[in-house]
Amino acid sequence: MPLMVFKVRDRSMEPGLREGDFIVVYTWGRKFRRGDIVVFPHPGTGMRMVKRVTRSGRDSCFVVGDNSRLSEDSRKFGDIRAGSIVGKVILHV
Amino acid sequence: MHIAKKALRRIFEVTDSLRPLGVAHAHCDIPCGIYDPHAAQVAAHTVIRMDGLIADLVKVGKADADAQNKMARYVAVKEQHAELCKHEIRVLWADYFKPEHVQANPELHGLVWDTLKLASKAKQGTSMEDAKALLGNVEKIAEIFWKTKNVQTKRVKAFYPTGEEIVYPKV
Repeated sequence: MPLMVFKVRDRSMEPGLREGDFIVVYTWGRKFRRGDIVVFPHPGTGMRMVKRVTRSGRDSCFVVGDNSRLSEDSRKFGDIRAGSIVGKVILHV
Repeated sequence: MHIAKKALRRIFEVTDSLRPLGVAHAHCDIPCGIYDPHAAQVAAHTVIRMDGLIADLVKVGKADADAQNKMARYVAVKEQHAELCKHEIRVLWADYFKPEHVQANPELHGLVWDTLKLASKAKQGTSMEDAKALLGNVEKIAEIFWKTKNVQTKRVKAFYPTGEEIVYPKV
């Protein structure tokens, strides 16, 4: 199945994604554009995270939380490898 | 919320309650920068203390209501503090430690992994050996933590009835 469902924890993607929301992630698409919300493993700890792409290159993306004051993201850990991204959020409920 | 979305959310909620779905962290590291391995050590000491009290109560050999009440309280506190210990270690691991810390201390990932397992073991049983092993690992993590801040540490006998050591930063 090219779809996965995750539960959102923590608050850095508020108000779009709130703690306890469910997100449906499309895992087969490999092109990520500015504005996409993506799920990926934290480059240091491997913890699964969800953030918004604010800059995308050929092999890497810069990701930032919407609630950027409360977010640990590419501003701290740098670009993430596009290949490491689990997929793009296509629906949240 | 649209009715279809509401229904879908309900389906996910039920699924999640039956078999927890994966979690995606919208990680909120404020970042406050306030991290300290002290709380994990205190929690590990508490687990040791509870195992000691449990053993003492067993030796007394009473099974009256008072003894059962005490036992329930000891077990509950042991459970809470083993979980607290896990939580504190997870926060240090996920929020504080950075790739360069792991590079300088390659044992860190394995050590954290073992510590979380030991905390679970401490919850499952009442072995003093397991509880002491948990504290030993937490102390090692505390030493690595302070090393990453270029702060020297000292191991001293804690002022607790556990009779065990605790790691303090030398300030």
